Amino acid sequence: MTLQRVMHVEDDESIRAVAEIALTDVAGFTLLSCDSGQSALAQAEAFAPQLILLDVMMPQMDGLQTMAALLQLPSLKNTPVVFMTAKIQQSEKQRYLDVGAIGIIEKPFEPMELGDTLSELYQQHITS
Amino acid sequence: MINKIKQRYFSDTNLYLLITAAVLLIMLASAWYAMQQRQQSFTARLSHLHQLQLNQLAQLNYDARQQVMLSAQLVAADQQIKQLLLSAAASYRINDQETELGLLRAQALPLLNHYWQTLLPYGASQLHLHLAPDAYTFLRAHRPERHSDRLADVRPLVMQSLNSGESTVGIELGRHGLGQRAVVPVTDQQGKVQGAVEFGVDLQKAFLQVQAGLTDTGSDNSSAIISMALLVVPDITDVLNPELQQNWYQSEYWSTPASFSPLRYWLDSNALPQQLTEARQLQLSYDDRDYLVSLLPIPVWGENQPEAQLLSISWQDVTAQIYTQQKADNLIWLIWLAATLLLLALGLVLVSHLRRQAQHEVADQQALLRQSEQKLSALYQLSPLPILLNRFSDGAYIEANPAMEQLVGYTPEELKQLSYWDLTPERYAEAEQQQLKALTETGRYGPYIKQYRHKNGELIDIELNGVLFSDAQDEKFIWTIIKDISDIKRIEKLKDDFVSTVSHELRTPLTSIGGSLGLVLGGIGGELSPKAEKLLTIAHKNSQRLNILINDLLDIDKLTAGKLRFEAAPVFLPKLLQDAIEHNQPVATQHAITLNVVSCPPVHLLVDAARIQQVLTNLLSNAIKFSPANAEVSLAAEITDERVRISVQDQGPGISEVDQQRLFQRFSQLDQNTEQVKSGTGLGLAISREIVLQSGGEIGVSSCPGEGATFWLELPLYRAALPVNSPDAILVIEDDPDTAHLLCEFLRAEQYQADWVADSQAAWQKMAERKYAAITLDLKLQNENGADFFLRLRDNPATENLPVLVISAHIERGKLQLAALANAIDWIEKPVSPEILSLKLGQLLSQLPRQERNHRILHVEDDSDIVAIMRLQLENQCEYFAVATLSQARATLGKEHFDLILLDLGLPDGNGISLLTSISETQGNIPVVIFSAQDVSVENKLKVQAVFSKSRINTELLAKYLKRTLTELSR
Repeated sequence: MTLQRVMHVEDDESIRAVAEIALTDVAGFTLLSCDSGQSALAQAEAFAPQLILLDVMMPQMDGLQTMAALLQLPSLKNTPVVFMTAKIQQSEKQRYLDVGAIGIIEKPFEPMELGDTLSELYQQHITS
Repeated sequence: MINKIKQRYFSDTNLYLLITAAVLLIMLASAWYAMQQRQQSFTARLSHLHQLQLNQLAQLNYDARQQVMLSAQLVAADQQIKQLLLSAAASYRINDQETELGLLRAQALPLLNHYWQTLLPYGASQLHLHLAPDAYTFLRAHRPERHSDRLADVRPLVMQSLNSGESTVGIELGRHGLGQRAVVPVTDQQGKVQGAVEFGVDLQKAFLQVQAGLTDTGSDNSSAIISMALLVVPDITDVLNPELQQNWYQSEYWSTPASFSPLRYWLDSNALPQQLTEARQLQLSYDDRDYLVSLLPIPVWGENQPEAQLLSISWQDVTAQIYTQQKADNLIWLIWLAATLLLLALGLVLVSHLRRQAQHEVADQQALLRQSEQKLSALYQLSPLPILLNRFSDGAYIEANPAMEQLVGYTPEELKQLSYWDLTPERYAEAEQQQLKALTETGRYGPYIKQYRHKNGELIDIELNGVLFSDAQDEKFIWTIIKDISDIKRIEKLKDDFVSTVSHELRTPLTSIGGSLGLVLGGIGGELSPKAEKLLTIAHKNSQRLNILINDLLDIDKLTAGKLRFEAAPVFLPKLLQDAIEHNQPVATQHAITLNVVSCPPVHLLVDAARIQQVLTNLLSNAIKFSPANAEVSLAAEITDERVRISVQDQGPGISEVDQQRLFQRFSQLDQNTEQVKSGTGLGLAISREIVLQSGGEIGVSSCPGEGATFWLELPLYRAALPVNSPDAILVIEDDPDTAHLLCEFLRAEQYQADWVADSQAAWQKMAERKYAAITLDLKLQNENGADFFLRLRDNPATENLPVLVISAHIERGKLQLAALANAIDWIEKPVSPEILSLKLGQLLSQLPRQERNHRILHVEDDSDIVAIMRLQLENQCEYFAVATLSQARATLGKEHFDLILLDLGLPDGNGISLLTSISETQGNIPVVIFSAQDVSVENKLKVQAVFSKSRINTELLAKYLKRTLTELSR
């Protein structure tokens, strides 16, 4: 099974726009782009993503809270999550992996490679 | 020490007392001596008169002796008297013819009377004629009517003379009083004593005359009146006439009336001596008056008391003289005392003057001291830094300055009431102990960062620095200067927040900028004109550069704050350098720069390899950037003492000395007018410097403008922790000297001894000289095919099992040749890496002991994957056992014995560290190797053989290490 449906949650509009092009035009995914955790929660079940790409630092609900809330949804229970963060401390990376994220993408990211990276992570995840 | 004694024993008061006592003692002693002398001369003067008296008495006695003896001899020499005496003696002998005797007496009387009358004026008291043998008194001149008695027979002088036939003379005390007597015997023609003439004078009168003379001498001076008496000792007065007895003491002959009373008193109070052999003087008192008493003993013959003694006693009232003397004495004492006091006063004044002078000096010094004290005190009082004085023994607060009150809210008075732990939270107890240790060992402590509890309960961050000192009483105190660092802490936190926020806020727009540019350049927006593409590429590159700058900023911030963790582990230096070259090769190629390693000792460093790689990359990329095209950048390493110096040398423009100094500061890119725009953040060297410093090393540069630059770093060398007994000797058989040299170096780095020979002939020779644990063999030898040499080795019983490591560029061909004989053989393909060489050699060598006994390893690990891998790696080398929990491990350890324990720490039922005790209890001192993802404290690191981090070492290397350890064990 290849990666097709990706949900991206990011509060910064510009990054959202860049990611959208990178993931749709470049990678060819079906993308749901949300500007907050709340909006993601509202649309997630309907969209049924194969992978969730989450920004960490967001107002109101941050990435971790959003992840926890999303995974509470029955249909999203086993959906893999990838974080995107500007913070690069090793300890923080480990923390995200510990809570169940399958990968971390550092900001700034390379838009031409973003889709490939997500596909790879997804493949690794479903084969293990 | 001396000062202390002075202070303790020589206070002002004591000093003065001491001087006073000394002066008084000296004056008293001299006064006493002088008075003694004075008293003696006084007594001598007084006794002079008495001596005179005694002399006269003695003279008198002597004169009387001469007189009586001469007189007696004169009478005895008268022939008529002698004839009459002899006739009388004859008649007396033939029955007492009284008639006959009467006639003879009548004839003798006128003759005797003639002498008597002649001698009477000279004090004669007796002139007797006695007849032998019983002293019959034939005639008494002074009383002729009394005769024919034998009273003289009790008088020793007469009896002695009659018996001995010798004349006798002496003072005799008898019923007639005291007299000087002489008895001269009268003998017949046959020489037989027939009678004796006795003559005596009355001494009492003579004594009286002497006394009168003495009294007269001093008549002009009443004090010179000398009383005198004669005493018979012992008292034999009972032999005297009752009449004499009665008057014994009262008689004017025996004593003067005036002197009676004191004499009586002295006799009654036994103040006079009983027996004397020579003259003596005494000072006695009576009725509040003082007397000088002189005594002269005179031997006497008493009736029936031959041993009696006559004492001539004279005494004089010397009260007046003594009084005068005493008055004079008192006066002298007074003067003496006055002199003493004067002297004392003078002495004290002098001393106190000297002392005052000294005190003035001290006062001057004290004034200076006070001034400086005031200065210091002002400093102390006005210091914006809190200053605190604690007692060392119990930490009690002794003093504090106003700034302290501002800091903690307690007044200095309140502070004194507090216990140490009122201000310092209890949780610092352990840290306090460490500071206290530093204080006692070095006399100072700090900087020590902790917190104080303010009076209002808030905690304040502070930094302490203190010193220990002792006061004059040897009590110890601690001065502490306190710095309120709560602001610094607050600012630090602000900065941290700021940095974190900024990095996020900067990256967010950068993400979309870089992303957009990346997409456009990736062709998403359609075909770009060459100009647009060039411009967008510049923009894209610079957005990337901006990102690197942000990363560097965060790096340096964490580094300088000490927040970056370093995981030091042994790193093989050649590999480190090789990796550095490989990493930077693309950039070097881009700039047409050649990178090479000039020299590199095969040693290990104890560093965090990733961080040092970061430093090397930074140095290399700098060197590449600043070198002209086609230049060479060389990497070199050498050992200096306990360190390794790695240097990166370029052929760039070089760096001036001024620039060298600020090179390692942040943002110190050199403003050189180079056309080459050097991309960089200006933080690279600052980051490198921090990394090297925190790795326990140093970094620096040496350069001359125009001659390139050499950046160097020195890092700590890692010494193998494995116990190396006698290292194994390996023989290297290799015809290429360069390869041989390299092999030997590799071997020596792994603690083998290596000998090199170039051909098989030399190899046989060497093997005869020395026993080798293994050989490395190049199949292509000069004089012989390596394979043939190997076959000959196996044919020889001495070397048939010698491990052989074949090193060849063509091992496949060699393997075909030697496959059938492949015992104790292994293969390495050229080029040789030191790790493989070490690994294969270790395996070869460990195969021998394996035949004797298999080592047993217990692996405590809950990850079944790791267990499976380790089992694969180890099971043909040893017996490998694995358990997954602490309880299983304890049970197994209790039952079985192992040679090595491999320990994971994060186990389902606890931390593996807790097993260390059971291991040493059940297994003794066997090596324990920790292989875990968890950190191990330094303390625990010391307890085990080695610690490997799961993220730092792969299982292959671990297995290699374990095999080596087991090989060491079997040796």
